[in-house]
Amino acid sequence: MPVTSPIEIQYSIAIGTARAQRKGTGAKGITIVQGGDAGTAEGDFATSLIWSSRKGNELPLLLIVTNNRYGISTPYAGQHGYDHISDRGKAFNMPTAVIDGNDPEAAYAALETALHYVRTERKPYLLEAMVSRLRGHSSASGANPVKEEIDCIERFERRLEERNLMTRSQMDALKEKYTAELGEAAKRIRTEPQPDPRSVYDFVFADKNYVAGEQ
Amino acid sequence: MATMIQAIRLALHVGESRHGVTDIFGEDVGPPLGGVFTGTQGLKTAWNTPLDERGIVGMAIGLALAGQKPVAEIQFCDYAFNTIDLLKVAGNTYWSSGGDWNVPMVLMTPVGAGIRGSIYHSHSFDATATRVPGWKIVMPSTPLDAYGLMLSAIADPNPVMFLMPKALLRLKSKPGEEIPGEPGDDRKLSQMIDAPLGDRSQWRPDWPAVEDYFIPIGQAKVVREGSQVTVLTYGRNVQMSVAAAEELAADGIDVEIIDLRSLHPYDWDAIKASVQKTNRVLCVNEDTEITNFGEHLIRRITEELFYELHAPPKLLAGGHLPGIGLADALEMASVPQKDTIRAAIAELASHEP
Ligand SMILES: Cc1ncc(C[n+]2csc(CCOP(=O)(O)OP(=O)(O)O)c2C)c(N)n1
Repeated sequence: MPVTSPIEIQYSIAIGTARAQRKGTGAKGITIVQGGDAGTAEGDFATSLIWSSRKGNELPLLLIVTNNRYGISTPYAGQHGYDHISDRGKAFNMPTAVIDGNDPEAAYAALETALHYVRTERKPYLLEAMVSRLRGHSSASGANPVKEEIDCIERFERRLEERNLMTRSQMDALKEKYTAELGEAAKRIRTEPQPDPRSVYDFVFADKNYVAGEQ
Repeated sequence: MATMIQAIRLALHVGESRHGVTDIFGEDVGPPLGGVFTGTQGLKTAWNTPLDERGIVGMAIGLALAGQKPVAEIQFCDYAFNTIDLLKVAGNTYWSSGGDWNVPMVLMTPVGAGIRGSIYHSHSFDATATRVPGWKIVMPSTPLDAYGLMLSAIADPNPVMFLMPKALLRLKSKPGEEIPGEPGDDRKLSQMIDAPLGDRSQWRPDWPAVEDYFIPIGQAKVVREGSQVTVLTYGRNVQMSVAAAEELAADGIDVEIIDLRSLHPYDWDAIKASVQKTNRVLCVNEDTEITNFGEHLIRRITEELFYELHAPPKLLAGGHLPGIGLADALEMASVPQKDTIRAAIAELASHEP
């Protein structure tokens, strides 16, 4: 689904895609929906818990909450009275898990379990990944790196090195390659010509494009 | 000279110290941040809510019904659309309870384009807000007006929506438009009331002794006098219209600009007097053009002043688009700009019946 900005509406929409995927015998498709910790305060999150867990009408929905313990400037404790967001799933009889989201191996294993459950049981699963907040939110603490937080990539790189799976220079080369690629993209976007102003009216309707009131 | 956001903060400070404001709240409104636009830094009754707009509006209605005086914030009006049934309740409670229960609350929210905020940080709310009866709706275009309108909103016994034109929040007031009692020196004011960067846990503001100053809700302001065309506008488009008018003055076109400041109730007397003088009228705002508040003004002008008009009244508003484009060229094409305002005025001025 396209990404959008009103926080948590994805959870309301996810029940629709999951319902569509429930149809047909042997259906395998599932919906994965993701959001932050603070956003779960919106009613849409409760909507998805309620709708996805109705007995006999369960939805193949994997709900993932990435918990970095902040919403812009507001700390977790200022928003939630429960220890873990995933605890809320328990009231709806869905399996839940809390994992170290900074650990790619743990995350992979947990996702495999959760995906398997949702695919085969055709029921919801709530996974909470505890993650770092490597940079602040632009409109609060600024976007500078936060030193106290665990850098998941650095930590994983060290692990790869210790286990002789990759060398420092291989990893540096990879990083340089992608940094250059992103730098190029950023440059290209800045020097690209501006779009035609009239094109702001493109894609308003799926059949015929027209400007307000035109026939 | 205070900026508009500082003026709002000063008014909220006066509100909580002298006019009974009990709670100022919203997402990231309390310490340490004090609002994503800094509007609530250092206020003693400011607190953070969960990320839940319906909860915020419901909280405000409940507090108001229980005798408190809340000022609630929706971080961006773009996220207020799921609160509309609660806004309707705030607006209808006094009426439906036969005058038993009024809802004295203020809801403030940043609106409009101008910061390249794209689809979800650029919405306007004036067309939607004016569709909800029972609310008073104000929108300042200068820091002093923001100060005076906020104090009036706080003192009002009804729900009042305070629309903050986000592109103007960091704008400083012009000489002669100081808030009574503010220190003349910007740097000094900033040192007194702006939270420092970094650790703020020990910081306390040093509020200047600003005085009460109320701008009555419902009173427009003639920001530029002229004789040939009337422009009815508010918020961010006021300055653009003034700039367009200054350019047109060189071509001998004399434009009158009215900053409505209050959208509901609006100042019909000021509108009528101006249209009777110029006989030509342009409404300018950023909301989408279909079912736009300017259309209401034009309808009333047409009904009541038809025989005084020398040209069909005109509306220049945002395109009927699902959002505001992100690229510069697309944002500019989505909402009125100085040049499109100038062209619309020029066209009206040269129109002959
Ligand atoms: C409905 C809605 N309200 C407010 C905002 C403004 N906003 C953007 S990010 C954010 C905080 C999100 O926190 P969280 O859900 O924990 O996600 P994180 O950014 O920490 O991953 C807020 C309030 C928004 N985008 N949508």
